[in-house]
Amino acid sequence: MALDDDEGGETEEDDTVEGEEEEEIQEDNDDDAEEGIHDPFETHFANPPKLYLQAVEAAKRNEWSTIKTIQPAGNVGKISISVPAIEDPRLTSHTQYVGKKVLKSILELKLKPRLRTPECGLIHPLQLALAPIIFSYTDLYISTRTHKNAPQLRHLYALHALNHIYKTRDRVLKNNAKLAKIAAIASDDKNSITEPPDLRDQGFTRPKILIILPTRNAALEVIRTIADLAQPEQQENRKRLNEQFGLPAGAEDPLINSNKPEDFKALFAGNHDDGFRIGIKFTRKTIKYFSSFYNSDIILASPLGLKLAIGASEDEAAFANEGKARKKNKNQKQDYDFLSSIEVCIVDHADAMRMQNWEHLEFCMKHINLIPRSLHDTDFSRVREWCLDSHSSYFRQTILLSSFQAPEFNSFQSAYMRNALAGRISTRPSTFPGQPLKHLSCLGGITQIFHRFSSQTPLQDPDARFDFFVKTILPTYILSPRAPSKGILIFIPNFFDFLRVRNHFAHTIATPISFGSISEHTSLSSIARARTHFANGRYRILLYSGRAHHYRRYVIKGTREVWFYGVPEELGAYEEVGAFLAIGDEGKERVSRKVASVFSKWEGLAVERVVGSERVGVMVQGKGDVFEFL
Amino acid sequence: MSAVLKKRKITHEPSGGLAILAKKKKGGKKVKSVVVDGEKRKKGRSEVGKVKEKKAKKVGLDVEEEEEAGENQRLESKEGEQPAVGGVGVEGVKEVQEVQEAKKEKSERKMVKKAEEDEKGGKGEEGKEGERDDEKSHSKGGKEDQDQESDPLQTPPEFPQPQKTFADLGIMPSLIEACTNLGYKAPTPIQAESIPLALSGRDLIALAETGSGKTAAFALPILQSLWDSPRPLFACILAPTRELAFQIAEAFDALGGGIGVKTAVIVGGMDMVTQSMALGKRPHIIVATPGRLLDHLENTKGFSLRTLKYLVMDEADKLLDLDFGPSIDKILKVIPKDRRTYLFSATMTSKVEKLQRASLTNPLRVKVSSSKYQTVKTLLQYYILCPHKHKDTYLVYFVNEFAGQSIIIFTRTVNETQRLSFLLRLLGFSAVPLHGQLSQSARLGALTKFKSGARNILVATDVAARGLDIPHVDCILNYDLAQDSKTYIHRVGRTARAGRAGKSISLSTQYDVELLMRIEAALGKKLPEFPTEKETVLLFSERVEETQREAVKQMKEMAEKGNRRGGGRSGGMGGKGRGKRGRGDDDREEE
Repeated sequence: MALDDDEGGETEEDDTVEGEEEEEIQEDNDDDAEEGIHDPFETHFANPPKLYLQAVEAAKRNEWSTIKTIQPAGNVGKISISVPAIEDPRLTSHTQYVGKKVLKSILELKLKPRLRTPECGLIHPLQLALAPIIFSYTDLYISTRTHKNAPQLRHLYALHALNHIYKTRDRVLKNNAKLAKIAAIASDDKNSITEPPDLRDQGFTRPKILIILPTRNAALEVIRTIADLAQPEQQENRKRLNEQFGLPAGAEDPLINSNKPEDFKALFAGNHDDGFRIGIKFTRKTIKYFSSFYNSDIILASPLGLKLAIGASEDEAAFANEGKARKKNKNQKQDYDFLSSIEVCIVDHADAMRMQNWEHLEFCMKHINLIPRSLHDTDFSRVREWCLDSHSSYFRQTILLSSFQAPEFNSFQSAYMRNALAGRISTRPSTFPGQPLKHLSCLGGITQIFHRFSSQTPLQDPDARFDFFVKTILPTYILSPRAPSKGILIFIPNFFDFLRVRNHFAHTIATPISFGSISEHTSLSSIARARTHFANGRYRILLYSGRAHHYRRYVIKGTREVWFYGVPEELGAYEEVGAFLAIGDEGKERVSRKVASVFSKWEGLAVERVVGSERVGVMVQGKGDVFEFL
Repeated sequence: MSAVLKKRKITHEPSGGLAILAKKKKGGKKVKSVVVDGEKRKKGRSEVGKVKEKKAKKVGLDVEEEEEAGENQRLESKEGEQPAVGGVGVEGVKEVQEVQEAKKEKSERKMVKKAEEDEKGGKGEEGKEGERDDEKSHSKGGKEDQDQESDPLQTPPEFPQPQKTFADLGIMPSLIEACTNLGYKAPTPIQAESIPLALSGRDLIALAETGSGKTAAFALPILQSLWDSPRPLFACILAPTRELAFQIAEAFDALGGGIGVKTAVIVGGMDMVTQSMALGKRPHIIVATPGRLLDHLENTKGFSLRTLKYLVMDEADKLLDLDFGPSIDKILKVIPKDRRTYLFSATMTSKVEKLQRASLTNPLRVKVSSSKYQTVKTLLQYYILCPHKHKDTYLVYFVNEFAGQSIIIFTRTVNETQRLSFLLRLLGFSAVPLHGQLSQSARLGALTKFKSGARNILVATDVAARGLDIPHVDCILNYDLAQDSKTYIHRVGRTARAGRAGKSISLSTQYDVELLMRIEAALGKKLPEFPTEKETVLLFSERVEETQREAVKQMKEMAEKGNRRGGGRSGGMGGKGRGKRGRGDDDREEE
């Protein structure tokens, strides 16, 4: 989980050798013909319409007007379109238009001609439905990412990122040439004081795109997709890339032949280290990996890797260093200037990051688009107006791809998707079928019970839940004489809840009970012991944490009854843990098997995925506290 | 723009800024009405002579067209003569001075004329001679009038009659509206003189007292010219202090807000990046201190002043007195030769002349006062002779005497400033220190507190003496005597501004008598002693001595704290500078 030692070099690699602009300015007139007024790059970044100030003000006040509709194409599902609440109808109509549009021809995307290769083809219905949104620089929050459509989505955003970089770089190079020409004329003719034209085409620093990914392997896949699309003549540091982001040469991925679920294999394939960052620099003919951040166009990083690159804030550093040697403070100077001019931020596989440490991601997001702290050789005469006005964060396109909706992602959306000009669009499946544990129907007789408890606010939820569990569920069901004498598995999604319940079992309960516990911090030998004892009945109860399941996906034998301390956000976890009932002592005895869950009204999203859209309303809002499915 | 503006507004209440300007203007009018009685007569006469004269030139204010060569000669003669004016009797000196001045001017004029003679006929010269004589005679007459008044010190500026309006000066309607909104009713003398010349496209050297409306005198022509051909990075105003820079920018914002002028303040002690961003937005007007401006010219990519049209140096002599010289030379190298340059100052030094040679083309000189060392009539100046031992006691006596009024106490060193503010605070007076070792924000903070009345005693070194327009200063106490007469003028110039009354008291110890005499000589008059009873004053001495010890203790504590933490605020005094310089510098003279 920590950074490798070799990581140090990644950002320190220096490009100082390279000249001002390494490329020759080719007079390929490819853009002039295309860059019309309808090019989103033009209208969003280069020459935003005047009303943007109004829109930014509305976004600052967090006033949005939202409409909801359905996009049947590509199974996108329900979409909700939000734009800053201002009088002008142009914003709304445009965002609605891209929200409902399905791409008919690749020409509509205003791609750089260089990118219009056969490889760039977007063919999947999902790509065609999402392309107009992504390419219009609208914020996007998708909750329908799966391991199956992930490559399609990756292809789509890689193409978008590349297109954005090309447009930005070409504009900068063209303007460089223009200015050089003017300077040449001025030096020839000293008398004429020509005022330099006001060419504004850049931000404070070079990096324009930030892609946040959970693992090194995911980064490698994105980089490969980009390289395939760009087809550069040369890739610098390619070998180092494969060494650091792939598996060691000759090593075989142990996951290939395992019988773990597919989504698990997709996430943990290859090098699944979660502390990395890498800058990529584009020139006309080459791609350079491991370029220093200030010379990079794209930065790929994991939340942890990026957080370490930014460094702890002074306060935190002071706190951490209390009593330690002073000189360390010096090294820990914070630097987030390289994130000051990010124009497109893509967070792929957010649900995996939720399991890593969501706070790291929030930390990184807070440091994007801030005013830089030092000059970094920025040419201020070419920094765009809205950048100078500190409005960058209202121009940034933020894309969040996740497999489901969770409170964390929703709050991410409201906090960091502040795109004032193009608005934001979020999607979710139209309906959830909600046939829980259908795949176990062959067993017959699985009872699913949902106990609702009341909690006033999300903040009070953990306390209320613990109270309810300890005072009602434990004595009535789990510790009652009627409960099974062994094989009770308690699945606890949140680690803090897990600790609380475990401590309760270990210290508070009057009559000692035999129980084991498995969390992501438990040692392998302890896990093995706990599993064995649970399977043979020496442990009556097993506590199993949500993150332990996410990272290990154990199949736990000897389970007769499953209790969900909270409904897991991942539908997969519910099904996989529920399926523990189907294994083990089959055929010996057909006792009634039970899957019971505790939930509150704040878990509506998770409950909906389990029981289906039709039933969730009654369960969350309606009368009665116990719901049973047969 | 917004970033800079916001920043400025946080530290300076914007309304306060406006109010200051408005008051200044209103006061300006008042001055006139005060002076009028003694003056109308001669005005009428002089007006006659003037009409004959060339249109651009006005009687009572020396508006001279100078060739560079003539200027140099003239300067030498003037500088040579000045010290000769010694500490004799007031009236005698005045007479002599007047005559000398007039003679000198005449002879100089002749020299200049000789240079010009080829072009112009002798006719103009005759006219001028006539005018000169006129002036001499009635300035004598004016003198007698003044002698009857309480403060016969100065030859008051003579104002054109009848009063001009901004429209007469050629100011365009939208700017006049801005002036009216700010409460500027009619132009002050310096404005009336310099604006038409500036509008005609000439370089200017303008000499006027502080508080006489100088800022608007250069702001209005620049804004008008900007309106005619709007372009970014149009004018740059250099000021010696950060506070003055903010004040000038406020004036530009207030006057130019209506026509959409963007200004940026570029001073030290503020964040470079934020300033670079402000410059990146290509403001029309830059108000800067030279050091930081040069820093940006050298380090901020994409910022240059190649298209600059106007350069103004406010407090020009100060800009050269301090260590700004090299920075200014460098700045002058990177801005175009083809520009208008205005120098504004209260006093003129030989260095300004040097600079003038370097950067002005064919400048016009505008003066609103003929005497070099001049204070306004409404200012009552006193001295008090006190033993060195009882200096603090006397100070406390005066502070107590004038309790409730706003007072500025001037000291020579940073250390004294801090010690005195501790002392006064311990005695229950609300004193705040202001000196060059405070951080920028602490300086602004101290000033704001004083301006707003939250503190009514400001203990300052000479950094505060220049250019700051603090309204409502009732009394100046010179705890340490000014080291030279120019500084003295600047110090006492903080009060009795714009027609208001004010007094100054200089504490002179047995060691300072010579200094006092030198100042009196330069002023051309003896200062009256402030009437006090020694017994009454010494009643304070016991209490003061007790408190002195406590104050010294606090000083030590603060110094230790400063050393330990290498900075940080203590006791309301920002000590950021101390970390850098160390406390050994405290006794160093400021400036």
